[in-house]
Amino acid sequence: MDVNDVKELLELIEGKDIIEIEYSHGDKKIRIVRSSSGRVKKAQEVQQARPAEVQPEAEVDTTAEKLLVSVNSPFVGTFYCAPSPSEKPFVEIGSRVKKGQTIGIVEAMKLMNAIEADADGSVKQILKKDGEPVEFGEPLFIIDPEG
Amino acid sequence: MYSYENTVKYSLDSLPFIRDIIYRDSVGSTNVLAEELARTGRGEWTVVVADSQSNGRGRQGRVWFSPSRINIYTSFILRPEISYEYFPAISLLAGMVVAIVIEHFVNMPAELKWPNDVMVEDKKISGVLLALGTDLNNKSYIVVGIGINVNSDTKEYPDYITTSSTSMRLLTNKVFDRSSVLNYLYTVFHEWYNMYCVHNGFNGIREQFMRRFKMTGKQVNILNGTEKLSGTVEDIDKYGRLVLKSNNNETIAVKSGDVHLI
Repeated sequence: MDVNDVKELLELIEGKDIIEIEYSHGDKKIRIVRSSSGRVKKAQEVQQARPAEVQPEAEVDTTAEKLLVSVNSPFVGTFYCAPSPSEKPFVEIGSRVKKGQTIGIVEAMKLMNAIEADADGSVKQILKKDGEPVEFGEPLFIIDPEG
Repeated sequence: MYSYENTVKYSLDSLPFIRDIIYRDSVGSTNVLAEELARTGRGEWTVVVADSQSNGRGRQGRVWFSPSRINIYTSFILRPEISYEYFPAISLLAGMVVAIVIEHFVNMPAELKWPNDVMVEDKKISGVLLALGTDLNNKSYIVVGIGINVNSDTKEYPDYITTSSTSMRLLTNKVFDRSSVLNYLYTVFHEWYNMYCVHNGFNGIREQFMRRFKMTGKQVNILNGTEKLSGTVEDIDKYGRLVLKSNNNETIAVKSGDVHLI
């Protein structure tokens, strides 16, 4: 399971009448739950023990369950990871962020929309490259509030 | 006592819709200051005016040359009560208003390049950049930043700008009172912003914009971050997007990018 798997799942339910989706592959399982506003907000990743290490009575380790927060694009535009091409990115993988902190920009018609972290935590994934076009509701970052 | 601060305040105080005027002799960027104010919850039509900017910025961090005593650098807060999808084309509204204001003073036609470049005699005369965000109360704001070359002369410009930029003074050989230009800018912006909100988006200003838009039918290249598009400009849609007919006959609505005539 990698960044693209998470992204594809988020894209799959965006704009559709799906409240919850669960996908498992190998020893990993991911569950995405839509918030009441309809916006994809929380992704739950369940880390399972590898089959080879599993004791018969403990096949799923639910204590390792994590809530992840997806930060999505508010509209169609171009994603920028830094204030300008010559400056450092707002955040990198592993950066600690505070709720409300600017972590990227989506630009449409010279309207610069600051993308803010939806939660305190650490940046787990950056799903778009600098200068890439983005669609409405498309996930841009995954934040681990416990990270 | 005559000062730019006093004349700006006197001139804008006469406009009843302006809520607050914040003046600075020098500021990093009027947009940054206006955004700081917006985030604390300051209301629509809170206006920032500076005599100079030390860090004036354009799209993608480009520098907006902002010397003191000659030009206009201003930003203000809007809180539009319209559908979110119509927010970006406020950028086009801003360019159109600047074009109307410049035409009024210089008595020459101004041309608009998508999304909001204002050109007179094929030279850039203003810069417009907008920021969208949410404040502490989770309410949306838009900050509109406008720079207009009013009284700058070629000797004030660095070499890299002189061939591509002009000013109201260079076009007319006259010196303009910046406070009067600011007063007219806000008067016209207020009028057309209301029209934009009532008629929900670009359609409310379409006729005024399109009469200054000369790119229809022209071949263009659009550089958008890592993407490059080519095609013929067909129209601007109700969301303010540039509608292109691509070279393989596909219709594309462009939301972002630098447009270059081929």
